[in-house]
Amino acid sequence: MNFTKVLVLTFCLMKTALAAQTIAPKDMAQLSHSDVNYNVALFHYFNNDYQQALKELALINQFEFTKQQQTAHQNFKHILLLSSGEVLSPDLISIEQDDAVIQAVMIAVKQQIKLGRWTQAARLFNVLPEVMEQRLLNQRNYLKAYLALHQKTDKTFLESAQKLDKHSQEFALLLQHEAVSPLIHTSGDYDTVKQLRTIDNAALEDIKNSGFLAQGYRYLADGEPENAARAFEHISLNSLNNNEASLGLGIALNQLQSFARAKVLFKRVLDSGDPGVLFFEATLGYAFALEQLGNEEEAYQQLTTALNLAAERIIKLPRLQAHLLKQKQCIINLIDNARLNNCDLKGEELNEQFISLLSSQSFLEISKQIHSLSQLSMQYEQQRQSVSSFEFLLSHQMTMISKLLNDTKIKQLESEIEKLAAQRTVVVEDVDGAEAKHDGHFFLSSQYLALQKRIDEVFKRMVFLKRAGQKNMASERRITLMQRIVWWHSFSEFTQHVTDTRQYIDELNHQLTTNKNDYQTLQDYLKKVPVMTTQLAEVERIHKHILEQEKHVPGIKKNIYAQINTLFSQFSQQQKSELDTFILHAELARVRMADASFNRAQALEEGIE
Amino acid sequence: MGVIFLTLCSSVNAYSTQSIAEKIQVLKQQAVLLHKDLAQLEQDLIYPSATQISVYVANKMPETMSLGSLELHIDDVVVARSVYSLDQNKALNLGGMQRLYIGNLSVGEHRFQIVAKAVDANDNVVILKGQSAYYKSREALSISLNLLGAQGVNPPAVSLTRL
Repeated sequence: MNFTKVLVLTFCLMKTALAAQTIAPKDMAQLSHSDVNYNVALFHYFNNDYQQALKELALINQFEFTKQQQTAHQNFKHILLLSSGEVLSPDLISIEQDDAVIQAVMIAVKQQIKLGRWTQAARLFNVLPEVMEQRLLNQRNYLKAYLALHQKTDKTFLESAQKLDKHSQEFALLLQHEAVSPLIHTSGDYDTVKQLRTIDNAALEDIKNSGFLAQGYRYLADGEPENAARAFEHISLNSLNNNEASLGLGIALNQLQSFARAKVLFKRVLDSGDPGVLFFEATLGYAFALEQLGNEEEAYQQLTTALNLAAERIIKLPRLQAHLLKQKQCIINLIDNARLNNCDLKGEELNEQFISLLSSQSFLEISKQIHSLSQLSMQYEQQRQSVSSFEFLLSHQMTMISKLLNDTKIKQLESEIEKLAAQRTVVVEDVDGAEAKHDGHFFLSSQYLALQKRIDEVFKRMVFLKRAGQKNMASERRITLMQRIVWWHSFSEFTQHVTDTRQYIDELNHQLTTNKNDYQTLQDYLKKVPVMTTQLAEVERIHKHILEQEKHVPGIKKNIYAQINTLFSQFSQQQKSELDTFILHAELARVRMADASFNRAQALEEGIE
Repeated sequence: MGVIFLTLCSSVNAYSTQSIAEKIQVLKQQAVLLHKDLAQLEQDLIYPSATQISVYVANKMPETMSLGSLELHIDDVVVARSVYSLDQNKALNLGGMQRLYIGNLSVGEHRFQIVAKAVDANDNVVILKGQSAYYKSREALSISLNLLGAQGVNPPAVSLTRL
């Protein structure tokens, strides 16, 4: 595989890495070494070990990367940083029309949402382009709607929800989200609910019903019974909001003088056995409808029964107050120690009222405060943990540096450098010497030396023979040839020897450079120690600061306790006042009916007379 | 190094105008940078390229097979063992590669053996064995342990390849 191919493959794999869980490299067979490092980083990313993935990524050499590859590398790094909980500006991610990168950013948005970092998630979401493939667009709309839910922007939520494929997984997920219901429920905005009707999905039924209910009561408060009746009629009769819807519709119909229909609806509420305030409100409406239909006797009877019940409740009020006191203590305990089983939640009737207290606006405010307080404590804890981990990391690094910088280690390194330098000098001198007298026998092996010796001896004998007057030209030529062969072999070996030695010198030089670099790095770390000491001091200061901040928490808690006390006493009083109001209205209705009955009897008597 | 030193110094001077969260952030980033430098230094000192040997695991078995454990022997000595969680299996199935072992080996011929245990769709334990010999030159050696197999076509197996 040539280098260009390796780079292209690397880039492809980097993009594949960015594609996160749903896209994985298909072919692992032809990976080069640098690709492996990306795949190791990918392994840790998929295994949710972001720190390890970052460490692997840091070890990848980016030398000779193209600009595009560097961008992809940086994007992967930033996504890993975001995933590992870094507070990072999403502007750092430069997104292109690339499905894999878009999907990776979407996964990062989901992770931010999961971690509750909504601002970060929203900013990251804004990085996404408007135009993309349909499958991705569905995910984008889901994320947009999800973020809108948190930011409580009905308009954006509805727009995004309407754009979703109604059978998609994203749509189902959106509806499952518990935040959907409260948003629509609390809004009751006319336009919002109107828009809701255009979303045709069975799963949306409950949400639509909540919206219509809130809308109906708003119309009633605005004195528009016709519109209110229309809103209530939209609600399915089998829905969970049946009682409240029936009551609302009954009240609206009473106002529209459609008493027969109103009577049926009020009766349904009464028959459901609702123990709360709905029962009393329905009784008043039912009695009024009966009265208007001429059945005063039954109306009177109903009111009397309800009055008795109200009187019983008033008798039971001290018990309720005692119960509330207990619950108050339980709530205060909950602030300090979040364990629900501290509370006695038995006793349906008392708890119905307790739950209505819990859902009151003031208590919601207190809950928010408690929630903020817990979050604050958690943040303190997180900060403390960060500080401790950092302190640990710092000490660990200082230990490592000290270990690296201890005298023995440095001396070893210095002596190794000296030894290598001396070795190099010897080798260089040897080679230089050998080159200078390459006609000598320095480079000859023992085998060739032995051969040379034999040639010399034979030559001596030849000189002796020559002196004796005998000439042997053929032998002389053979000797000369043999001499040349030996020289040729010797010279070849010498060349090889010089080449090997030069290579050895290169290696020594390389080793020397590496050692010197390491030595330099160690010296650099030594310089870092004072900075780290300053950092350590800063960490200690932060720690003290957190402790000081924590001192204010008991004060805030005290305020909350006081607010809870006030709220509980107000609630007890309110219970009594609601029951008193009902008694007053019921008594008035009874007096009105008695008067009417008396007047009719009087008129009848006068008629007979 | 000089640049890092200067960055650290300037970061320390900027502390006075930052909030605690920002200060912690800056400190964290510096720690990450320092950690990166140390990791690189450690890598260069402990595993010089002349003796370095790395062994990676890649899984190409069907997703119905889950990898339970793996054991690596070099020259009949166990050098690495790993037990796999569900998350790690998922990460391998998605194309991640695990660095099972990194160490040093002398120049020369070495024998690599691998024993893997996997669980198939019917909860049966399948033992996979593979071995190979490689010559370690003065260059770093990287080996990939490939767990192979295709659903209903090829039985699971393990192979070693040089990267």
